[in-house]
Amino acid sequence: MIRLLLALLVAAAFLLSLAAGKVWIAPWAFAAGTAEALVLLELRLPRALLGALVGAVLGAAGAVLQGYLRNPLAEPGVLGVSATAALGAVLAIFLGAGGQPLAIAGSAMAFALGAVALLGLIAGSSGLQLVLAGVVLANLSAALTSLLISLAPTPFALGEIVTWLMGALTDRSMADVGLLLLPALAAFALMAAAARALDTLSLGETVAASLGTDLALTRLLVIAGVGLGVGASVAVTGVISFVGLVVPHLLRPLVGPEPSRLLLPSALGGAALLLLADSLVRLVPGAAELKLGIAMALIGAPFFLWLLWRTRSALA
Amino acid sequence: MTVPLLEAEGLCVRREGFRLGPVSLALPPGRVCAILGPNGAGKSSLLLALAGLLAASAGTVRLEGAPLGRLDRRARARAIGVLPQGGPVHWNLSARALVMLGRTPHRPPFGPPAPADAAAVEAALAATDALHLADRPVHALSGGERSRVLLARVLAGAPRVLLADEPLQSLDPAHQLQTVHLLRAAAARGAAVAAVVHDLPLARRLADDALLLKAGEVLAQGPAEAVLVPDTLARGFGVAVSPELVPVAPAAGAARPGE
Repeated sequence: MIRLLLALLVAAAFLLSLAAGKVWIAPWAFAAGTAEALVLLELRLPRALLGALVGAVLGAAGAVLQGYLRNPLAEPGVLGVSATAALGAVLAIFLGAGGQPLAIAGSAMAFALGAVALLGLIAGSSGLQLVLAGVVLANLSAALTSLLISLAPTPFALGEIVTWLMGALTDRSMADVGLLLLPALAAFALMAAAARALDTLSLGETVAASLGTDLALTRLLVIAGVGLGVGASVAVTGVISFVGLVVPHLLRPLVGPEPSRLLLPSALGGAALLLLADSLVRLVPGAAELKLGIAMALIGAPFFLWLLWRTRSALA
Repeated sequence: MTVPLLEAEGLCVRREGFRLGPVSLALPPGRVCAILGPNGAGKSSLLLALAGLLAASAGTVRLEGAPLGRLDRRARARAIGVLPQGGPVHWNLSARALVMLGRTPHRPPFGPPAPADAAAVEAALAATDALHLADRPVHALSGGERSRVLLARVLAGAPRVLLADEPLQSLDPAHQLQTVHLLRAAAARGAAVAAVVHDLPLARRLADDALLLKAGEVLAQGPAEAVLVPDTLARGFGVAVSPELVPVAPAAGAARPGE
């Protein structure tokens, strides 16, 4: 029931994302060879598809990480994958690939996979080690990104780096959708394969192992699924935070706390949230568009603080 | 003597600053073995090693003749149920959802529970007197209620070997007796049961066999009436044990339900 409602919400948000902008266009106006059809097919359709995919990846990754680490504060950012992917993109821009989205995305994805491989090598079987390794990786990547920014050869490159880091869905093409589609689908499959094992982990690693869960395989599925999905998302859209943190929190009281029950609703919820937020940023008055990454943080942070305040007794 | 379901031979566990074994132990169907010993004697480590969850540095554990290491994880999980000490529950599951986790090795990786799974869960909740708690969130339960739900989780898996670490902890006297009854009933259905127990009179009621550990070494093992005697227990625990605590003919003998 909740899943059906969420699916309807995603469909509505998708249509809204097609229609909304400085100029409103009816989502069914793509028939004729008009300017409206061009805007719809070339600009807004890839943007809406990317928003839905990235939101779904981030929402599902949040649910999986919270389940794996048994910590409601976990989200894709904690593994350092987003930060490392961002470093890869910034390095590409720094080296002069500013005008080539595919080069930027490719570099970001390569760095994300490198981060995932490194996490797999360093972290032991426990979730705690994984978080510690992730925090170190995130900080290192952030420092190196700052270094590259401070060394930026031209003001133009600097501007491009900063703009990219803010995270946005503007000016994306169907090529970007194609780039994200395969890694995203693989990520969903890997995360779904880990879902039942994550349920058993809610009773601790000893009981999970006694119930037949392969702890090493589960860790591999989680690292690979989250790394691939989030890495590819960051590669295409820049860093967008809070989706993976907020969405599973919102849905947990509605569908139950088992990670396997939370996975699909979190993907749907993430897609709906990102589509709505991206429609919203286009409607804010002003010449320049508000960046999606900034908008998500502006919406997400106060909301999450409110959530913490409301549930502070339950978490303590 | 029947063929043991689970059998350990020369089992040793070595960890930093701690050494257990060698322990040789046979758990035949229909019998309950109490594992006793002072804190830090290695009781929990022995239980985990018997379950194949703690790597042995030497020795073997066999399930129905087959080395544990060669068994498929799910097959092992269906055969051996483990109830660790004071296990954590990280999400605020309902008691019923928690007990359903015990069915995991019986369920395919995807899809909703089968009617047989749901029936096993209801039966386990009923057996542990926890049916009225089924829809309550686990974090709202008292310590004793939680212990019963956790025991129901193990029972729902219908394991042939049941390894329980202090299953009587934090239970009121009535539910302690009920748990003793449940473990004996599992043995009566043909399971092999081993349980870490601290309460000497309850150990006497619960167990057919006993194993006394001290500082990682087996001090005594054999039939309960031979091991649970004041002299041996005094050597194990380093305190004088009153004979009334471990009556020679267990007063509970007649009250052993399930036999």
